[in-house]
Amino acid sequence: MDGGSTWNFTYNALGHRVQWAYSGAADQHLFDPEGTWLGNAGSYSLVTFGGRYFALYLGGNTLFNHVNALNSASMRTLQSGAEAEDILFYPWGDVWAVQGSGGYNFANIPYRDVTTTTDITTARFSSPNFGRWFSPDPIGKKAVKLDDPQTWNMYAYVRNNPTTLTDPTGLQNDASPDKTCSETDASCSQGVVPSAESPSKVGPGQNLPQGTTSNAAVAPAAVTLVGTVEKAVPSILAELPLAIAGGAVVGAAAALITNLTDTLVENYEGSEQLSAIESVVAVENVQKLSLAESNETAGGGPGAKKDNTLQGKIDRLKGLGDYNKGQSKKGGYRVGTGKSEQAVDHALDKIKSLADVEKAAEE
Amino acid sequence: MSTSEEQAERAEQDRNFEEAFNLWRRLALQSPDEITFCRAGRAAQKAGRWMDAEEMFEEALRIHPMSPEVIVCVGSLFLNRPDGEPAANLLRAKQSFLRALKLDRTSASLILLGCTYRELKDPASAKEAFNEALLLEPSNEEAYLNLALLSEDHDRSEARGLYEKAIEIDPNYAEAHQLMGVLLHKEGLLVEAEYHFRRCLEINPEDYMSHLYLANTLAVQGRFEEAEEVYRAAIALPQADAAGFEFFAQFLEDISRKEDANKIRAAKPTQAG
Repeated sequence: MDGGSTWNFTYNALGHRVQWAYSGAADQHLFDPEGTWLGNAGSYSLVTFGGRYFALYLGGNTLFNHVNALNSASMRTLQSGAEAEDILFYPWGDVWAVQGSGGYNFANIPYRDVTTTTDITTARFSSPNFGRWFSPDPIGKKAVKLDDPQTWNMYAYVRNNPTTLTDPTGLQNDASPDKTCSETDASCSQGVVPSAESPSKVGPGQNLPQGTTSNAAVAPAAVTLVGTVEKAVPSILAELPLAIAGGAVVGAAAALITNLTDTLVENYEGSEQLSAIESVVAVENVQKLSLAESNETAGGGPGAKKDNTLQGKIDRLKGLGDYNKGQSKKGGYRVGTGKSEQAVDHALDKIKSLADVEKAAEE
Repeated sequence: MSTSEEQAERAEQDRNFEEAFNLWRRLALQSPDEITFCRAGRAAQKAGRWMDAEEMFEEALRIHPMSPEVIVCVGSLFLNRPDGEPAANLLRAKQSFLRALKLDRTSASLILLGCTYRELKDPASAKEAFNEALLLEPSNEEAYLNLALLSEDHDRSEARGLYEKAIEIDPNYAEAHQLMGVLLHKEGLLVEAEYHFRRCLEINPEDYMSHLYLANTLAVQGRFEEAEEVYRAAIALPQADAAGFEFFAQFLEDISRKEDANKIRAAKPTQAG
């Protein structure tokens, strides 16, 4: 690569690229136990602050990072305040114009390997040229939601919305209720993070080494691409009857399968890249929903809403609402009065304090 | 502040309301004043000792019958107590708030009055009270939240706007996030609902109801593994009760995991709530 020269990369057990060897020379990069990138041994080191790379010590200089709304390093300045580097990116991260030299750090992604024009995270690599990841989401089929077509392509970078969202870790939703996702907007359920919100440990571009992700232990993607839609769709239909109790596809589940099949054929006709995993996920979700439906037909769970939609089978919103109302009466306060009740307590506190002061003055 | 008062304050902060009540009552009996009786009454109310609370507030009123603070406390007690005749309690609460407002018009009293009207199924008067609270205090997020609750039945988009306004004023207003989440879930906007439930949990990671709402929203989206994880987190909370276990068991049953559902039912706490 790179005009005929060959680079050899060495990775540690956590997937960090710790050595870059070329033409008889090698760069070694250091990471702390949490996977935070610390710098290039003997060349430069990084200063982290508030979970972000804040500055870089290089050749007796300190370079400060200035980021734009996407957390791309748009400028670096020296300790003197002089501008060292000024960068403009295209929407997908390709460099439009650059003044000075140093490196590129697009959208909070730890660093860019300019040798291969690749943005590198521990979880996977992305290409600013192609505007997509090189591998599917490592979380696998969990990333795909049937009702959200944007999730069906697991190679897509930030739901194809790179001017608003960032994904500095390369990870999609990891299903934990307390992850950064929860701080974000609706798109977050697919694991991408709106700009300037991500607390991930990320670094300045530097053409150079590896930064880190918030989850260094993510396994590499393991997805096998098999066949085309024409192969995948029959496989859905073939597997379903085996999975559904009683062997019958009932009601809404059947309609869902029809819709799904149509959508897949319509959107991916001719594509050789539809991964089998999408089909498998579809099958699994339909299986689950169908099982729920069969179960409901046979009596269902107590308290389940008795409507005919698949969602309705397991929705307990009303039951929860009634329960919540009961809870408010048992202890605590009525809905919508918490702050006013606090104000009542504060008023009592205030009067008590004033009385204490008056009493002390009298004494 | 005396040592006993400090102890009582600390007990309240630790949510040990029984002890706080006993300490405040002792203090009030030693040196009677209306505010100390009120503090005792509030602690009793929080401990669910309704009769004791009423007794303390009556003592306070005996000392200072025209204190708006004491009268509001009486109103709050009757608005919240579950014992006795509900309609009679609410009428007593209404009278108290109206009386307190004659002496001192505060946004808190107006909101409590508005909530009383809402419970008395008088939405027009409730709306009037909340709007007056907003006139007194234009950035009162609780007034917006209550107006949203009133709008929910007939105009969900207006309700949504009002919840958004409340959240805009206080982005960490957990109750508004939770109610917004419920509204969005009703409208089928599950991803948006999920966001608000997750915000609730960020604000208060131990909020039991938000766990249950979030788990339900995830289940409806077909994200069963995530839903299960959240249900498990919910039943691990100290305030988890039999109802939460039952919701979880029902979910497991619906995804054809009867054995797991039975295990969860077997682990139910014996006393609810």
